[in-house]
Amino acid sequence: MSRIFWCLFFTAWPILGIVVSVISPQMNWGFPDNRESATPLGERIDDLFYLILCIVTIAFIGTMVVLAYVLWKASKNEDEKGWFSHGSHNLEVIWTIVPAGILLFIALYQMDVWAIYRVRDYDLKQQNSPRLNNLVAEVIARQFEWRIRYPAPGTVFKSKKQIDDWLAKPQAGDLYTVNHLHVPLNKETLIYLKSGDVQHSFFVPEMRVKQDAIPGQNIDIWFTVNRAGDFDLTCAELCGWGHYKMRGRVTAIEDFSGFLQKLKAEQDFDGISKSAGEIAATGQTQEVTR
Amino acid sequence: MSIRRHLLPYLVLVLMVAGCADQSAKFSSDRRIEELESASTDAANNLTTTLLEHFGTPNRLVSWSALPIDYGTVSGTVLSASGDQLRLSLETKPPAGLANVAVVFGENNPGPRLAVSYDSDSRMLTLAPGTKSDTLPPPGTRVRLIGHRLQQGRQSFMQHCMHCHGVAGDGFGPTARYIRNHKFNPMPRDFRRGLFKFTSTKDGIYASRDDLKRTVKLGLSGTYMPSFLLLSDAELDAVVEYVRFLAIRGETERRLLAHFQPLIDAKTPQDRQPLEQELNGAGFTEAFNDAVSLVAENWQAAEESDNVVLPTVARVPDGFESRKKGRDLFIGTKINCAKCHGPRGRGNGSFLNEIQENPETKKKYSEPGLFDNWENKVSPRDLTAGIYRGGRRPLDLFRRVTTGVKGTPMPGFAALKEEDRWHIVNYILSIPIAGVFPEKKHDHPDGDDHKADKPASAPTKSTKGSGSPSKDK
Repeated sequence: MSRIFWCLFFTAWPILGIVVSVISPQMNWGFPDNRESATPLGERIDDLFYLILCIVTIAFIGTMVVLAYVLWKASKNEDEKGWFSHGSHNLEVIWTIVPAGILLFIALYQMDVWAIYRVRDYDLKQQNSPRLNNLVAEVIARQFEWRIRYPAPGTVFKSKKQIDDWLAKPQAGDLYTVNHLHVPLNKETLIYLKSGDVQHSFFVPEMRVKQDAIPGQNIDIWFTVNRAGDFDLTCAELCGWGHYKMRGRVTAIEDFSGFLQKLKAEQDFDGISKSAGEIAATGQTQEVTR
Repeated sequence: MSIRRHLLPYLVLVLMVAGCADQSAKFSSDRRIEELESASTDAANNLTTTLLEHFGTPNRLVSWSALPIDYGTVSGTVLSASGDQLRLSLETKPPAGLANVAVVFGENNPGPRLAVSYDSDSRMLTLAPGTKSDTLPPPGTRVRLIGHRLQQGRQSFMQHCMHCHGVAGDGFGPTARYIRNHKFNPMPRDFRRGLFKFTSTKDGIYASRDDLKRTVKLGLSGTYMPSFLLLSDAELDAVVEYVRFLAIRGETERRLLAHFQPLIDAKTPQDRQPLEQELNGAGFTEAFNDAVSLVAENWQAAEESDNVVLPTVARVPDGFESRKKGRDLFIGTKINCAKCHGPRGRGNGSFLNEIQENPETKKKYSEPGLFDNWENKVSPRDLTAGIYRGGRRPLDLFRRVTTGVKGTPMPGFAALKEEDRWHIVNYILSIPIAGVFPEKKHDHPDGDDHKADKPASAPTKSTKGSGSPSKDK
């Protein structure tokens, strides 16, 4: 009696787990604000996640069925002794080769996505590569904010060295903001990530972008946003007691050069030259773009 | 089993201790109040109770019409009243969770009541139980609910600012010591002097609401003050109001301590006796009223548009000529920025090697270098870094040149012609940019300043290490 009870008991849990997993999307039990990806690469990353979820589900159900069958069979027959498979060469070969094959498949299958995500600066070394001018901004993560610097509007980078020079030192006409990054819509975007102090991580969940900022390194991040709007930017590396304060926003806009012009007008404000009614009578800018 | 037998009593004990702890928060007092207490307990009591009466505690703030603070007022009329409950018609939509606000009936009613809660569906306001003499007003009476903005400010302040600036805004929050240990960082601002470094206002004028809001919103780049750009506007306004409240409270405390200073300085009980009587009675009330009205006036003046520094002449076009004039002023003997900022703006001027005098106490500091009014060692800005704490707009730098950085040895040069101030601004903005200013030998234009407009074009040939790419390796 009690053997059957334990058999059913251990079979019920995996069944419950699977049922909960299946119905949770309908019941809205997932993470809040679980929105679709805003980048094409993000969709492929999502697909990879689903692929792995499928593999894991098949393996899980298969294992649980076998486990339940073994329990059930053993509960019927009290006299039957267990078969000890320890040291079975054949079995060990099987359970090494099958998972290794699956892992190899995943490793090869995801390579393309990884290359698109991380290995994007392959042609930057060439002179006049058009992709040099995908550079949008430099983001410096520091305790506890994101300092952002855009190259002067109209800047044309002709070589990687010019980009390195730009990253190394402030240049005339650079535009500065904090905590709110604007990027062009539907255009491949290059951001250089730096850290001002400790390790941080640039995480935009909706864009499926997460990249650590390492002190002393300029790290390139590539993405193409194909949905206009605001996206949350958070720090995904516990960086200190004020980690939670690193709340930022990424906005994808169609008229990116217009944004830069507006930012320039704001930054060049000398208290006299009024720009398009943005400036209140007191001389304080209203910071329309922020 | 024996463990279980022993564990239970301890568990109960722990819960009891946790339940009995004193949860009421207090504004920490100025340290000198301890000195005052050892000189005269009465005076110290007088001071602390007066502050408590007029400013309250963090959880029970007192609103007070003598101060130029927007506490957040919702006005309306009484529809009906019964028991401790009032049915109201409010003119503006009250914020969600309106509770613990002061309720003032009529125009100048001296004894406000406290509201415990407000239910926006039934429009019922529940008052805290009053004394027997309290009567509820007839329907149609004007009513004002005061204090929601300050409460919201307190809440945001406790969440975002208290860690560094401390509960009372004294700059001694729990994380302040990590900042103090770092030589490049300024300490968190101690609000209690009413003094803020980066303002748009003239010399000697306090910070305006806009200034404080700008600082909270954009942060002070290069310091530990981060940007709170994404807080809502209402939240920012509320935090600013609360900072002003703390500053006013702190400054009142400082001024009252200054009133009692002779008592602290008196050495013998015989000396103290007459002073105690003189300072503690009517003299104290007078000192308190003076302090409050002075502080209130100062904060009010900061909001006046006459006191904002605004150039009357537009920025002189940036170019070689202007930068050169700016540099001549920078290193010239007349205003001599180089004295502190160094001949090349690296923040290493010769003045740093001398021992300075505290402008308030007229005492010499113990070590060479510059100190601010909070007696923290400060370093002149390294202008080659391109980091401008008070903002990088030409207007911001113009204001720095005009009024200096308040509370620090950086003076203002309001007497300088506006054109000259713009020349300095143009020069300062050009310092961090490599190669745009022929710094050493040839002071002729050479077309170099045009390159400023095209940063990423081929770098200036005269700069080292940026020749043709083939030479680099």
